[in-house]
Amino acid sequence: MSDKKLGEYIIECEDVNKWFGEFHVLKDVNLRVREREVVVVIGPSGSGKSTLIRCINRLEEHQEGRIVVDGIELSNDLRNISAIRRETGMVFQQFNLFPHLTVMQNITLAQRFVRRRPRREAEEKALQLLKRVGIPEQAQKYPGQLSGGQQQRVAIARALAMDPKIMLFDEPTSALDPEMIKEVLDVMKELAITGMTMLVVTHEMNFAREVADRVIFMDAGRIVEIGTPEHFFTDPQHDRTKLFLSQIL
Amino acid sequence: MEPEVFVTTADLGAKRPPPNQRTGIRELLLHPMLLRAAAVLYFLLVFTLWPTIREQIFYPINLLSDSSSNWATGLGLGLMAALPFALIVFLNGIRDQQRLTIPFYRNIIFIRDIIQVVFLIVILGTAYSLIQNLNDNFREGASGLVINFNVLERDYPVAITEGPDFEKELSWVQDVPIAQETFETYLRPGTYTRALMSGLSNTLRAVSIALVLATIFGVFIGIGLLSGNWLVRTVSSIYVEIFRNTPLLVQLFFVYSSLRLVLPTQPRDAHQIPTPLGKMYISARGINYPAILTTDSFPVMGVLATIGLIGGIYWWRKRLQLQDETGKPANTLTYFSIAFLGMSLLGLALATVFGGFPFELEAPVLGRFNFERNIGGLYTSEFIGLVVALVLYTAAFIADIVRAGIQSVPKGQIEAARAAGLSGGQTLRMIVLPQAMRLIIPPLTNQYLNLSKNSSLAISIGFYDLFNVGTIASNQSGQVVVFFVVMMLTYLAMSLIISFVMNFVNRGLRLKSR
Amino acid sequence: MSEIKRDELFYIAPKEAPPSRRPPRGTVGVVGWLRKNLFHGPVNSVMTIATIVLLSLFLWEVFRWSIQDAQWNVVISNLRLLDVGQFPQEEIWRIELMGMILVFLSGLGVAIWGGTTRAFMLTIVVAVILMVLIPVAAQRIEPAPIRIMVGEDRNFGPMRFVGDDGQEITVAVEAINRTEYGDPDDSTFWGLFENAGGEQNTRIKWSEIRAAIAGETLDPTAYNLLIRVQLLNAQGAVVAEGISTSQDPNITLNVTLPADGWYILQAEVLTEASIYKNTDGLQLPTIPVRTLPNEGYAFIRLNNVDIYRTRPSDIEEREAQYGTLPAVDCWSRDVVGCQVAERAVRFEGSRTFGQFLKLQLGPFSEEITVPIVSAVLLFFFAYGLGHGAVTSRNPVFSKGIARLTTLGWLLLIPLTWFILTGIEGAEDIHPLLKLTKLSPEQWQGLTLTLILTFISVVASLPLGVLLALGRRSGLPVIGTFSVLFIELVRGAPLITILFFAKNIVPFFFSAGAAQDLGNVMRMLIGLTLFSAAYQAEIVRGGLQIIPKGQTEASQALGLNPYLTNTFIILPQALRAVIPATMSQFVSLFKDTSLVSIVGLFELLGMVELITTGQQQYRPFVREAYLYIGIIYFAIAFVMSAVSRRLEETGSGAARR
Repeated sequence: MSDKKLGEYIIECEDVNKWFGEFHVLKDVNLRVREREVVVVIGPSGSGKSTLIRCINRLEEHQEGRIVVDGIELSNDLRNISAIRRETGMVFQQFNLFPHLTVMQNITLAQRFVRRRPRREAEEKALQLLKRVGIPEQAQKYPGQLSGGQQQRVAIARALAMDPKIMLFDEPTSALDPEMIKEVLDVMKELAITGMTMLVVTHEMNFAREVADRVIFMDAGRIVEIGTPEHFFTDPQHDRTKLFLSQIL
Repeated sequence: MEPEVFVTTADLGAKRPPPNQRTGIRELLLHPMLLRAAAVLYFLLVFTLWPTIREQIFYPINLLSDSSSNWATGLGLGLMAALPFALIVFLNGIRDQQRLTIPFYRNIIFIRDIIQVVFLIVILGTAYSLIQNLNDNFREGASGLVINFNVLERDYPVAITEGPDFEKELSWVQDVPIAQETFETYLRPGTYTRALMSGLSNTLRAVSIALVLATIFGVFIGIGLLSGNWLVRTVSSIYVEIFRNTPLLVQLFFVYSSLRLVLPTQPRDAHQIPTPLGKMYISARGINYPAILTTDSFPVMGVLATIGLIGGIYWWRKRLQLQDETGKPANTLTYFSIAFLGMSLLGLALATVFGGFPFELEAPVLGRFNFERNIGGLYTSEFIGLVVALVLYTAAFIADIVRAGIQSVPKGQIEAARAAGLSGGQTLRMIVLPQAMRLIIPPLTNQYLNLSKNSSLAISIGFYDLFNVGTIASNQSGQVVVFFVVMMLTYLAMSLIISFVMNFVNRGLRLKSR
Repeated sequence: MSEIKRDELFYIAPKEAPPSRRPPRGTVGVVGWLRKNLFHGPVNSVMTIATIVLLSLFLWEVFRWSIQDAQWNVVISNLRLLDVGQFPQEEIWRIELMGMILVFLSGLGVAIWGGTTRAFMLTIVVAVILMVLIPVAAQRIEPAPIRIMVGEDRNFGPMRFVGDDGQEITVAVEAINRTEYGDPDDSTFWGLFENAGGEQNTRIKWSEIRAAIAGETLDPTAYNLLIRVQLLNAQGAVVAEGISTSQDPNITLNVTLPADGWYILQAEVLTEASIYKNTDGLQLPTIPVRTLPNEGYAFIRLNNVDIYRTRPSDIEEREAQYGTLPAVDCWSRDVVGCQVAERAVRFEGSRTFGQFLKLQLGPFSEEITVPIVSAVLLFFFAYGLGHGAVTSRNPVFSKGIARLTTLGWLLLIPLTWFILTGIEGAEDIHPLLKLTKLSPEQWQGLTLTLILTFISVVASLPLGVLLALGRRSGLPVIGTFSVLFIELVRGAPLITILFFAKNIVPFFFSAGAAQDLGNVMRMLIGLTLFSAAYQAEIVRGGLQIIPKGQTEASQALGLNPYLTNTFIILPQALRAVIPATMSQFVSLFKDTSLVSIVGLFELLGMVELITTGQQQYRPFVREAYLYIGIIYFAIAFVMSAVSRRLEETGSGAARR
């Protein structure tokens, strides 16, 4: 996507290092994402891609380096963490919808208790978002009654209901049956068109080619190569990148 | 704006150890184990020196005084004890504030730690004030007693009519070298301690017998629950439902009163049952049976039998190894039996030749009104009642556990085994049971623990188990707290031992199934 | 069968499939079932036969025992005690009121919350109905009359009992001078007075007499006794008196007691020398001196004398209320007397199983139907109300009813406490406010069992949740303490914890508070702590099932830990452990029987009280145990069956 006007730097990771015990899982990660940019992160499993985006909303804690989101530094400061979590929405591989609440309640819960919106307003917004992701009729159903693709779309709507500036996607389609992947990707594409800043970890290469502004390849905790989709898929530079792409394309 | 293109030049394989990994004295000191030990030591110091600390530090600055309530004093103690931790927490907080500009009240780590510090202070303070209240109330109250563990060396006034005689000398105590004096004070005949030990021995007797019988009976009924025969299944199921849904205490009372009502009350009217070893008398007092006692020549046989046991186990494992290596059938049981029984017989023979037969019979002697005390074996009706009730009750639970465990083994396993040619018995032994065991052992352990704890109900029928003796002791001496603590610790120890043994069995069974 | 020739490689099925055949005769139907299940082979068949034989023998023995040997009086006469203990008769309406409130709230609850709560509520309703109808029915049974045997060789000495102002009692003499005395097993014989042990035992005597009458060795019409019955008050003044002669043997004195206090009953078989009537201090013979010898036996029947309290300490209590025990003169050796009524009264009857059943179903049935029907109607009314609220369009109505239900359940325990303990000086506040002060110590019997269970379970739930959360909190200090508490409590037998709660806990507080903390409160504390530890483990299991992703999603949305737990984690965890919690409920219900050891008189304790206090019931404890065993079983079985059903159908949140 080339005609977009990108904004200022909204995510900045500077020399970020993380260890799980003795295991060095993120090594000297330097990354800057602009507003309205769509960045796709690819790489073999265990390369630290999920860990990286989970560090951004403090689901994981980094030991070294700085992470700044929308001008707020990620530290042990409660206020900062809450603020950053309000700015970022996350979509998980396993959807993680709340099974004991209806779709409507899933989407309105955080709105009412974190953003303190009155119930009516929250429900209107929820309905709006459900229309946007294409399933307004499922509002009163329970997650268990929906298909995987529908659940993930509800998850996206739930994250969007908080009006985040950034959307983080952790392998959103990896747990879906093939025929449902498209519906979720379509929603994500539409999101990108409307100008949402997105950081997406995925294996869907077509999505990367069509939608991404930049593609990042990570391996063994390190960012190996960053480039435009054209650059990436036609002319990768690093040997590792070449090896990886040869295995999956 | 151009999107960045970036290619890394770093060595992809390189990695660093996490920060703060340097080793040195400082790191050694910060080793968690040492830290915890230091913390515990500090606590102990504060607790033991509390009166001094209180006077030297708190009184002068008027924070506390002699007349402060226990609650306030407790808080002071808590503050004192939590002081170093609080200091560390605050220091960390200050450092974070300086370096990272995170104010205290928003710092996650600070919040987490300060909650724990406050919790610690409150808990310690509450505990202290409660215990002090206890002490004060006892002192001022009816008993006027101070909580004093010395009661354990005083004489116990009530007779315990069952189990080891706590008035008897413990001859082997004399030979214990080091702590002899302590033993002398506490373990001389007639002390509270001896009485408690008597009670404990009664509990252990009842629990061990009940455990074995309950397991056997429970397994039996569990198999019945799985039977193909509808009648057997239904009857077992009814048994399980009835005995699981009625309180143990009611069952106990019923069994005990049945025994007392149905059996002849007077010993002279007792039912006499001839056995090869002599006459057995069954009356409402209990079962008097000819006891098999060991004589002086028994140790010889005992030692040889133990050698046989060890040798048998060793041989057992050797045979299993042999089977692994050469495929020859292990016949472990045969070899074990040869070793154990053989050595035992040898011991028996040697003992007889050199010192007389290692066992002797002591038949109960019926006096005018009752059997002579301590002659012949006696299972009192209290004991029998307790054991029977425990067995009936626990077996119902065990049966269900066994059933669930065996049913949990997927049918496919059995089919595969039979298809591979294993016989019914082999399938059961090597495929079904090991897998079922994995699911059976944990809840079974739970039931064993319950059984050992349920033995305390003996007080309601007058069986002198640990709890009964302890209660009487605390009533007699007024030292409620002392005996409560002793009993709790003992039951806890019993639970721990049972869990430990069962854990061992759990792992051992898995090894054996290989 | 096909007509086409079949060769080895090819086959074409016939156009019309042959009709399917029935399976061989012996494999289906009743015969088939029998063969498969009971007689599947030689071993199986032997087992079946052996089981049938053993079972029949066993059941026959039980049946025979319960009909012939067992004496069910111990249960029948004490039904009220077993149910509500010594709760004052006039306050029983409070228990019934609570029962009805419970039924009402259950009806609402089932309608409004439905689903998983339904089964639980229904169990409550059943338990309440069981509990409510018995006191109502039991209070309508007359206390069984007391019969004392006097006769040619036995007299009856002074019997002292307490009576209240206005109490109506009947003293009668029933001469055993008829050949037809009705069926000896007729229920008009409610009890026989045993006024001595051994061969003097009245029951034995009466059996001998009956046998002698039947064997025609004793002529019942040869009755010649002169009996004087006197009812005196504590000062010795005669309140009522009657003389039974052989011409007019059966006399009845209907007495309304003039005041509260001790009364003395004496019945004397008179010989010539002792005929006198005490008027104004003069001793005058008023009845001609008999010349015929004393012959025969008679019953002195006493109706409506309270025989509940039996312990020596109760005499002190009576003395406190009614004045000092009047001293009496004990006469010659062949007289039984000088005893206080309750201890002298022994109750023994040939209550056979048939009569037991008749009694349960007979006179009860009118009494039973009214409370049951009203309870059921109330339940359905509440259900209808709740259902109407749920489906109604009117938000005020539906919200209002929902709020009322929640409020009702939340306030249930304090309300129960309040109603069952009352207010100090209630009569002074308002005459209509009949909530006189009662102490929890007066709660006894099945009522106490249910109250203990309910309050402990409910109180232990939040405590258990807190402990479980603490254990999993990841904060070492809090986690360690949680673990310590849980393992300490679980490793100790319940009886030691109750012991702790009874003897040590009160002293944790100031001396005054220790006094105020009654036995029931202490046991509640003990049971709650005990149950909380087990509940904590149950909840922990539920918490472990929740996938970590739920917490993560919650955090990613910005929900703080409090919100995460309250709205996301705990609802799922608690729903998942409902079966285990109900199992814990059943367990606690059974464990309440242990408080009888520490001196509370719940159901089992009540049996102990009855059988130790009323010595005549000592040999019949098994009947009592069986009866309460059945009660325990009924409630426990229903609850565990319900929870098992819950487990099977799944109480998962995703299905509704």
